[in-house]
Amino acid sequence: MSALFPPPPRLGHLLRAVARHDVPVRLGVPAGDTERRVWEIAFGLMVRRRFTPESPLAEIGRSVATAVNYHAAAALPALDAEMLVREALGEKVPVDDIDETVRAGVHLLLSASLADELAMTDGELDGLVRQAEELAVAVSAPPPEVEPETGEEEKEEEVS
Amino acid sequence: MGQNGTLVRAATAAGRHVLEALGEEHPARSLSRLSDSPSAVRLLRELFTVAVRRSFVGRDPRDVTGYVRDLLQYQSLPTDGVLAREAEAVIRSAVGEPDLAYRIPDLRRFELLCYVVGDLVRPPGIPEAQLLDLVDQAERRAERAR
Repeated sequence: MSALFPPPPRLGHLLRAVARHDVPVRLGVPAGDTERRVWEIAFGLMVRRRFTPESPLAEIGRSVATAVNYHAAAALPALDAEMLVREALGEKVPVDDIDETVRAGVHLLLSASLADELAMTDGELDGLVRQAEELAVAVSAPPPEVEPETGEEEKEEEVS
Repeated sequence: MGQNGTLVRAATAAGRHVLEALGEEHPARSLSRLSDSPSAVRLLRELFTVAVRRSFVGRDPRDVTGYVRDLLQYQSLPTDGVLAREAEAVIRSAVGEPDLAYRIPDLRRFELLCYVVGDLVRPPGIPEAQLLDLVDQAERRAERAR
């Protein structure tokens, strides 16, 4: 891999490719936990940009059906996709044991489809991916270490 | 909810079997044992359709999610996984979203249907007259579909 020409962010690249209907031969799945987290956060940002928690289910269903039909080759289960959208909107829905490949497919293809619905520009898409990356870092960063209080400072103040 | 007094009022043998199963201690399990009777299975499918449409048509589909959670909790089944999604898909497929359930195998679909129909008599249960109306309507639909 060239250090002079670092590759663009994988998710941003994939999202733009799918949104431009220039679908890569291999979509791939997130390589590790961090990348998976970025995809998930980006999906959540996209979903909340397109819908609100009060959006009618029929409206969500239409967007899901559009994405699922357009990317029929990916064979995404429509109800799983709808549940992941509703989860991203904060609803308590049954999403346990949804396969990682399905999650990754929904996160990518639905995000691309929603970007298309929202007529987002490449710049806006890049901005959203950057925001997701920053949020992923913020979430995974360990909390700052706090010096344990010894109580000596207070004693010194009392003495003086 | 005792169904014994209502048995004679079902028009068909399948109807009587279904009402009998609904009067058992574990209605869903008893209904599932009717799987070897094609006429009972047909009737159960229609009864499920009628019951679900009367309950959920015109309501927010999110109500189905809440109902499924309550149903599975009552049956001490997992509420957050694939079973809940399948149950929601089967119910919503009967109220206008048929595509949702096409991947669900027939046997699982039948089991879920038995849980939902059996839930009609979960205490306190629907009034007996209403149950008989549902079975009567289901019998007519099953007859028309033959």
